[in-house]
Amino acid sequence: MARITDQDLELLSAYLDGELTAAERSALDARLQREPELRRELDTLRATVGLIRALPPLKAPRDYTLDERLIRPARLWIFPATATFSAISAAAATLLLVLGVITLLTANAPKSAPSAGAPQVAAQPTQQITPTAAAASEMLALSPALTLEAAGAAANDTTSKASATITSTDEEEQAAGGADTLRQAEPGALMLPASPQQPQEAAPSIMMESAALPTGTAEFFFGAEAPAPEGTTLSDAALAQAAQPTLTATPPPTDTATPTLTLTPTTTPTLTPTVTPTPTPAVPAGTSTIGGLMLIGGLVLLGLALATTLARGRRRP
Amino acid sequence: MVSRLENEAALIQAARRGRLEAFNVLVRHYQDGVFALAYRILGDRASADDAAQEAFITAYRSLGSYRGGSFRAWLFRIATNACYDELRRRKRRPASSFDDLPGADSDDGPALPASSPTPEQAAQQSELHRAIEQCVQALQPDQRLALILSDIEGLSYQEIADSAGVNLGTVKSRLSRARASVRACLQAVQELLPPVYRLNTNED
Repeated sequence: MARITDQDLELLSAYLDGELTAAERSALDARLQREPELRRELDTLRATVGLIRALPPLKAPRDYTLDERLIRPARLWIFPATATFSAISAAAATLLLVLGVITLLTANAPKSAPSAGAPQVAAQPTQQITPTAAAASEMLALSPALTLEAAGAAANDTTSKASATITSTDEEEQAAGGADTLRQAEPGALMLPASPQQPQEAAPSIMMESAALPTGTAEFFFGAEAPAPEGTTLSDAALAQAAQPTLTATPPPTDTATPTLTLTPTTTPTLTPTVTPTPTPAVPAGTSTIGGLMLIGGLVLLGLALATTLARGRRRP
Repeated sequence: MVSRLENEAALIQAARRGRLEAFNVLVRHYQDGVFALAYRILGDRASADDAAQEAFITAYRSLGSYRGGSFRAWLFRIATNACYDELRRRKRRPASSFDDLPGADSDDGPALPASSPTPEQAAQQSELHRAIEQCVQALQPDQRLALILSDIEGLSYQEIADSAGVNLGTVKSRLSRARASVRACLQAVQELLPPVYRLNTNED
């Protein structure tokens, strides 16, 4: 006696519904003729389906016709209590809370850490490279913007591949001015020494190290304060350029223009007097306030998301 | 099994343009089917009532997403989703008493057909119907849905496939498994049933 397989069952079930192809149907008819087991299977299946189909039809207990009140989205005061609104509120709340926390944490970080997003952060590596550019000169007082000019000047003066990638626009003419221009840097800006006589092997290692460090740490490295973001003269274009020297400033040590500046006090005895710490820059006024406002806004939105969700639930009969 | 609505396409068009009364013609035509579907999925009238109303509200708002084909299959798909939402809600807020569970006896089941001849036959039939309903309730959700759509709502395989979002092969296999399970379930309880309702498996 043949076992009834799942496939047989599917065939029989579809047979009952007239959902077999003509070929399948005639093949099954032939099998039913000679397989009583299959026939019995079909009979019980048909009886089962018959019982299910004979269940009394259900009537809706009431009309589900719609009226304006039903299709108008539920509201909570002036806010639509829709799932979409709740979801958007919740998402915005999350974003604000996270941003708020980050802002607050940044504002309360150790005072030497630069504020988040300050342009100087991106410019830092450039300052380290700058001494490379001003290879032959004495120490320079540089603002971040002028740093680029120095690098540009170096590109003209030396054969440094690193600096050659800088395509400065209006910096070019200033570059001709060279060190004279650079000396007029704003007071309080970072001062960096450049001494070509320093051991060459020291330079690449330091640069790599600085590149890997968070910029905040790089500041520590210099022992200088981050310039306050207010009053910065760094343009977007300058910023974009600032990134370039960072990437290209790893020339082979044999290059004549190889960075010779050593930034660690231990290897550069002259560094200590040349670094002039910036007067403590105020943490950008209102950063804490902004962070606080973000948190409050986030909490309000979170409440709104919850309230609209609850309002939607209440509306249900 | 509901007959086709003659001017269904025109009603849908009008409803899409915001004609609520046109949509309500569709509602009246399909509400028994939608409620029955919800009741068979959820197993109690109160939840089915909620889900059915929710389904029509959602359907009206989503008319723009209807892309032709069987309107009933599209509507039943929305109704199924409304039922699953209801099940999720119920899971979050568990039934406070056993009475709320699907298939529980306290649930005032569907009204008996007016044609029940004698009280005794009515009682037997009621017993039988309850047994069938419990066997259907015991199915896996996917199989149950296929069985309900086919044997209670009378949808074609293609409509079931559209409604459940699966292919025809899946419909076939789910349905056949569901029927086999219900058969086994009914055979297990058939000694409770009057002989006339028994499945004739053991006859030789």
